[in-house]
Amino acid sequence: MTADIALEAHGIGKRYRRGRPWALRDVDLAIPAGSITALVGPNGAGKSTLIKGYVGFERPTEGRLLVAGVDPWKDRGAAVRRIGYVPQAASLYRELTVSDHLAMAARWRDSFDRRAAELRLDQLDIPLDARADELSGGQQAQVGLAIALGTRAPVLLLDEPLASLDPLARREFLHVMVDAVRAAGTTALLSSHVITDIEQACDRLLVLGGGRTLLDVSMEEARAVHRVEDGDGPIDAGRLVGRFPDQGGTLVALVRGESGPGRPATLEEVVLGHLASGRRTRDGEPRMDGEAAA
Amino acid sequence: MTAIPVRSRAAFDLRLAWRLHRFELIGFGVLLAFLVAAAIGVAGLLDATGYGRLCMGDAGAQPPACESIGRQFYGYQESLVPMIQGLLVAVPFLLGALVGAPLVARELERGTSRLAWSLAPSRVRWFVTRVLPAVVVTLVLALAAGLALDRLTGAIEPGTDAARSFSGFGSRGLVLAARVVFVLSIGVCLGSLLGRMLPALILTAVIGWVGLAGGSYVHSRWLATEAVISPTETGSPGDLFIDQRVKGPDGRILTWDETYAQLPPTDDGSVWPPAGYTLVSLVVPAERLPFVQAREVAALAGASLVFLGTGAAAVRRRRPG
Repeated sequence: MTADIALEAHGIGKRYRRGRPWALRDVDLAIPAGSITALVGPNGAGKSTLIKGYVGFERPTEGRLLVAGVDPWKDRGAAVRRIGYVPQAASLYRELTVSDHLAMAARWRDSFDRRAAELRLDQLDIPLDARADELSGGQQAQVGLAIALGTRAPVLLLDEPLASLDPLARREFLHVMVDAVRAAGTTALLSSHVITDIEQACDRLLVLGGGRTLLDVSMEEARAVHRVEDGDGPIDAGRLVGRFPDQGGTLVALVRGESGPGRPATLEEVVLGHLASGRRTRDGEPRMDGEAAA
Repeated sequence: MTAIPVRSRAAFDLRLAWRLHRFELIGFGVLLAFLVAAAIGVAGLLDATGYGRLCMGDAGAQPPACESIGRQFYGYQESLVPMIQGLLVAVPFLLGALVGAPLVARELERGTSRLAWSLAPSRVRWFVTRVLPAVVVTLVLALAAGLALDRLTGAIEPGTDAARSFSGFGSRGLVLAARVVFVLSIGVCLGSLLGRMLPALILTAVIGWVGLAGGSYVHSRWLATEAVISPTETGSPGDLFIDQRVKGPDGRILTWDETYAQLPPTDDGSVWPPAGYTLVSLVVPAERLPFVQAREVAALAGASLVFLGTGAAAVRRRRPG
C-alpha cells in the first residue's frame, strides 16, 4: 500500500453461491486518501458488496481488499477502527435515544468525539433525548452520519445513505458530510443512485456495472473527456463508450474525446454511457464493448 | 475524547441491556415476583396448618383435629400448589427462550447489528457484552423461582429437608436455574445462526425440550447405576426411588423376574413372596443430592457454554443481516 491510497482492491471477486453470477469480478481499485469518491451503478452492480467487503461484512471469494493497508478479513478489528460506516438504512436501535447511540459509539471507539457529534446534531436541531423511532428518516440518517464522523476514522464508507431521503434531506446530508470530510481530510466512498446529488459533493467517480469497474476517474476528467453524439450514425468503435436513450427516448452515444462533434456530456450521461457499455449479456458476463452493448 | 473506564463500559452495557429488554424484564420480573411471593405465601399457609408438626408422628399421639387439619393441608395442596408450582417452573423457561432467541436475532433482523458491528472492533466482545447481562439477569430470576420452589417443596413434604430431598429434582433449586440458562443459551445460539427471531424461538422450544428431556433420561439411567439398596420398601424420605427389589433369605438381592422364576406364585391365596423374603428398594440416597445436583449443573453449564460459544463463532463469521 502506498501512503496516499486509502482504499484498495486487488482482483476482487465475490460470488454469494457457487453457480450464481459474480456480484463483483476482477475489480482493481486505488482510492486516494483525502478524496470523496462517488460509487455509482445500477442495482446489483456490486456497490454494497464492495463497501461491505471493506467493513468486513462480506468475505471476498477471490482477491484482496485493503483499508488503509489493512485487510479486513485478516485483521477485522484494525480495519474497523479505521472506518466510519453509514449503512443503507440508518440501523439505529429504535428503543434507544440519540444520546444512547452516541454513548454506544463512545463505548466501542476510544477515538469517538462525542462532543463534536452532539454539536453536529444540535446544529441540525436533532434532540439528543429523542428516541430513534421518533426521528424522521433524514434525521436518522444524520444521526448515522454523526456517529460515523464522530469516530474520527480516516475512512468514511457510505452505503447509499441517500436512497430513502427527500431532496432537501439529501442536500443537507451531503452538505454536512462534505464539510466534515474536507475539514478532517477524511477519505470518503459514497455509493448512490442519485447522480445529480453526488456531482457537487464528490471529486472522483467510480462506476460499477455487472460487477466490474467501468470507470474510475476524477469528476473533472469524467466531464472533460466525454461527449454525446447522435446515436444513430456510424461512430468509430475506438471512441464509442456506449449508446443509451436520452430523456426524450432518442438514442444517443457517449464517446471519448475532449472535442469534436456533439456536445460535452453531463455526468449523468457519462454514467449512463458507461453502464450501457457494461451491460450484462445473457450468460451473466458483462460486455465491455460499447457497440455490442448498444 | 478519552478512553472510557472499564467500569463505565460495564455500566453502559448493563444500561443498554436494560433499555433493549426492559419490556421482557419488567414483565417477567413482575410475574416472577408475584409467583415467588405466592409460593412463599402458600408455603406459609401449609406450615400454619401444623399438619407436619402435629399429625405426622405416631398415630396414637395425634390430636383429634388431625382429620380437619389434614383436610385443610391437602386442600391447599390440591387447589393452590399445582398452579403455582406449574407456573413457577414454566415461566422461567419462557423467560429463557424469549430473552435468548431474540438477543442476537433481533439485531440481525432489524439491521442494528450493521451499526454495532461497524463500531465494535471485536464482534466476540460485542457478543459477550450483549449476552452476559442477559445470562446474569435470567439466572437471578430463575434462581429466585427455584428457591421459592424449594421452599414450597419443604412445606408440601413436612419433615423432609428440601435441601436433602430428591423430590421435584430438576424442577426446583439450582438445577432449575441451570436448565433455564441452558434454554437461553440454545436460543442465543439459534438466533445467531438463523438471524430470525420466530424460527429461532420455535426451534429453541423444540431443541430445549428435547435436550432437557433427553438429558434427564440419560441422567436417570446414570443415577440407576449409582443406586444402592435401602432396607425399606420405598427408601427413606428424600431418597430417589429407582426400583423395587426382593431380598432373599440368603441375603441375595433379586429382581422381581428372578424372584418369580425362583418362586412361582401359587393360586392357593398364600402370601407372596413367602416368609424369609423381604421387599427392599433401589435408591439414590438423599445424601447424594448435592453431588448429583452439582454434576447436573456442571453438565448444563458446559452445554450452555458450548451453545454460547457456537453463537459467538456464528456472530464472528456471519453477515450482519
